[in-house]
Amino acid sequence: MADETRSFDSSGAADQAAELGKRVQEMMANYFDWLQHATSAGGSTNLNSRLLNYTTLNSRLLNYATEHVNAASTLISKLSRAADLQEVVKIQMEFVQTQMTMFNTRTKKIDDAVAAAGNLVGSFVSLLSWQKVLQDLARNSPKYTQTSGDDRMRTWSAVPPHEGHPPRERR
Amino acid sequence: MTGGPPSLPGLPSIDEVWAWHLNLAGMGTRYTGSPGHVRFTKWLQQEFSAIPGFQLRTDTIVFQRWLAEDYSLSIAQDPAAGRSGPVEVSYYYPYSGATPQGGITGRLVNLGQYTPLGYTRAFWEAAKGEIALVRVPQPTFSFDIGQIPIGGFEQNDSSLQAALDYLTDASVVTNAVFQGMFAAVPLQHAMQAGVRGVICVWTGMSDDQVANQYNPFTTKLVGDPGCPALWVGDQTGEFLARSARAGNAQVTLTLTASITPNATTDTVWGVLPGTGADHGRGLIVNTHTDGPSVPEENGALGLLALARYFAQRQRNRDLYFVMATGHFQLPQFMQDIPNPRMVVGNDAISWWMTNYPGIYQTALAGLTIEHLGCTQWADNANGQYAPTGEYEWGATYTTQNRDFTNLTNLEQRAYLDAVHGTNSSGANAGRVVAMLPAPVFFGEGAPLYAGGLGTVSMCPVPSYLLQAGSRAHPERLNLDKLDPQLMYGQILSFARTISTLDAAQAADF
Repeated sequence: MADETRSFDSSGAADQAAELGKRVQEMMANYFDWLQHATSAGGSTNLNSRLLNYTTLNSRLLNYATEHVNAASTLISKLSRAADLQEVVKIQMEFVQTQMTMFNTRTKKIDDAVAAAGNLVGSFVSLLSWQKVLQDLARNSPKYTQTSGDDRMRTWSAVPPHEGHPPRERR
Repeated sequence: MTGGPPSLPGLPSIDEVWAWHLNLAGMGTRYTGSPGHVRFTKWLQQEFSAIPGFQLRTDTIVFQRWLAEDYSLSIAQDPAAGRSGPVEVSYYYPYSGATPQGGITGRLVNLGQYTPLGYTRAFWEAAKGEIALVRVPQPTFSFDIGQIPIGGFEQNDSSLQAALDYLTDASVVTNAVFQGMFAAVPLQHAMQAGVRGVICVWTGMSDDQVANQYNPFTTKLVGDPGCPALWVGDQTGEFLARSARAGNAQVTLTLTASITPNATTDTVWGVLPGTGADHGRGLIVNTHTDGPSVPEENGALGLLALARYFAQRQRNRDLYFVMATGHFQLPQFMQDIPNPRMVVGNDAISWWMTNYPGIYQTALAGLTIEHLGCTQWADNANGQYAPTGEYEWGATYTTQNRDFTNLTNLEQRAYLDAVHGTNSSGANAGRVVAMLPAPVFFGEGAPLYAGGLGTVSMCPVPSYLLQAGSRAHPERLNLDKLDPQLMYGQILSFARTISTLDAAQAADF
C-alpha cells in the first residue's frame, strides 16, 4: 500500500485495538439482532389499523432527517481528527451506538408506517419497508426442482405451490 | 484504444474487453429471458466454454416472462383546457397490466401524490372506471444510515479521507432506483378498486434523467398483474394534472405486452478447480446478466476477463464464476437463505445458492462485480442531466465471514491494497469506498454475506443504472456513460484481490 495513504487496517495498531474490536463486534451483533426484531415486529402489524396522523409523522420524519445529517456531520468531524486506529474504532463504535438508539426511538414513534414524507423518503423507515418487501418476495417466490438434464446442463421448473409450500397470504 | 493502460500478463487487453462492451450494447436490452438476454447468455456460454480448464455449467430455469411490446399515451380535451395529441412517455411500468392493441380510453382523474406513509386502498376510489394520474415521491435517500464506511481510495488522499468524502457525498442521494425500492405503486390495489390504468409521474428529476427508467424491478406477475401503467416526467405530469383539473380530458393509454408462461432463462456458471490442499474452500466470483443497459450488466464481462486470466495461473482454491439470471424479476427467483446473517438485502444469486448449497457453505468469500466503469451523472443547478465530472464511487462491501475472529479484515485489506496496486501501476483505480453493511447491502453480494461468506462486493449505484439508454440515444444503452479506463482498472483491482485471497489461509478470512 502506498506510504502516503493511511488505512484503518494497516496502521499497525491492531493489537491496541483488540478489546475495542471485540466490543464493536458485540455491538454490531446486538444491533443486527435488534433490527431483525424490529423488522419482524413491524411486518406483523396491520397498517390500516395503525394509521397515524399525517402532519405529526411528516414533522417527525423531517426531524429525523435533520438528525441524520447532524449525526453524519459529527461522525465526519470526529473521524477527520482521529489520531490512530484505536480512536477510529472507538468513534465508529459510538456511531453505531448512536444509530441504534436513534433507530430504536424512531421506530417506537413511527411504528410500521412506511416511506416518504412529502418529498423526502424517510430513510430509516424506508429500510424497514424494503426489508419487508425482500422478505415477502423471497418467502413467496416459487421453489424449483430439476426436471431434466445432467451435471453440465440442468433444466428447472417451479414446484406448484401445493407441492412445494402452502399458499401464503398476499398483501 | 491501443496503447492502453498497464495490464497483468494474461489478462485480456482493454481493447478486447471494450470490444465486448460494444458487442453487449448491440444485443439490445436484456430483460430477463428476453431475446437480447438470451443472446448474451449464449455468448457467455460460448466464451466460457473456450477457456481451458473451465468446467461450464448451465441452469435453464422455466419462468413466466412479461415483455412490453408497444406503449404510448395520448390526450383529447377541449382546446381551451390545453392541447390534444400524443403525450411523451418516460417508459412503461414493468410487469404491470397490459392493454389491447388500441389501448384503453378513459377520463383522466388526478389522485395527487401517492406516499406509502398512511396509504389506504381508498386512495384509488375516485378513479374507479377511469385512468388515474399518480405522482410518486422524489426518490431521495440518505446513506448516512445502514452502512459504515471503513476506508477507501482517492487519488492523493488518505484512506480515511476517502471514506469521509464518500460519507459527505452519500448523505443525500436522489436516484430513480429508490422509487421502486421504497415507494412502488400498488397497482394490484388499483385494479381491485376498478381503476383501468395508471399514469405514474416522476418528481424532482429532469426528463432526461427519468427517461427509459425500467422501474420498479420487483413487480409480481403471477396471475395478478394489476393495472397497465406508464411513467411520465415531472413537467408532463404537471400538464396532465392541469388537464385533469379542467374535467373533460380523455386519455388513451396503450401498453401491449407478451406474457409467456413457460419461458426459459439461463444462469451460466462454472469453476476453475484449484490444486491447493483445501481447494474446496473456494471463492465465488459473481454477478447478474439481465437488465436494461450496458452499465447494469457488464459485470459478466469482468468475470470473463478474470476467468481467462486465472485459467492460466496456478490456483490454490476453486474459483467459481456465477452469472445469475433473475435480477430483474426477483419475485420469481429470489430465495430465502437459511439461517441468514442479518442484512437488509437479497438478490438473484440466492436462487443458485439454494440449489447448490454445498458450494457456498464451504466457500470462504464472495467477490461481486457489478456496474463497471461508471461515470457520475446528475441534474445540475440548471436542471440539466449531465456528467458531474466525477466517477461513481466504487462502493464495495468488504466483510469477513460469519465467524470472524480476526482483528484484521482480510477482505478489506486485500481489496484496498489491490486498488493501490492498480493505481501504482498507472492504471485508473477510480475512487473507492470500503464499507460494512449495517445492515444495508445493495447488490448481488448480499445473499453471499447473509450465507456467512466474507465479501468484496462492488455495487456502484449510478443514477442511470435502470435506464435503458438515454433519451437522445437509447440505442447506446448508456455505453456512452462508461469510462473504459476505469472499467479496466476495476477489473485489474479484482484480479489482484482474488490473487491475494487465493493465497491466504482459510483461517484468515
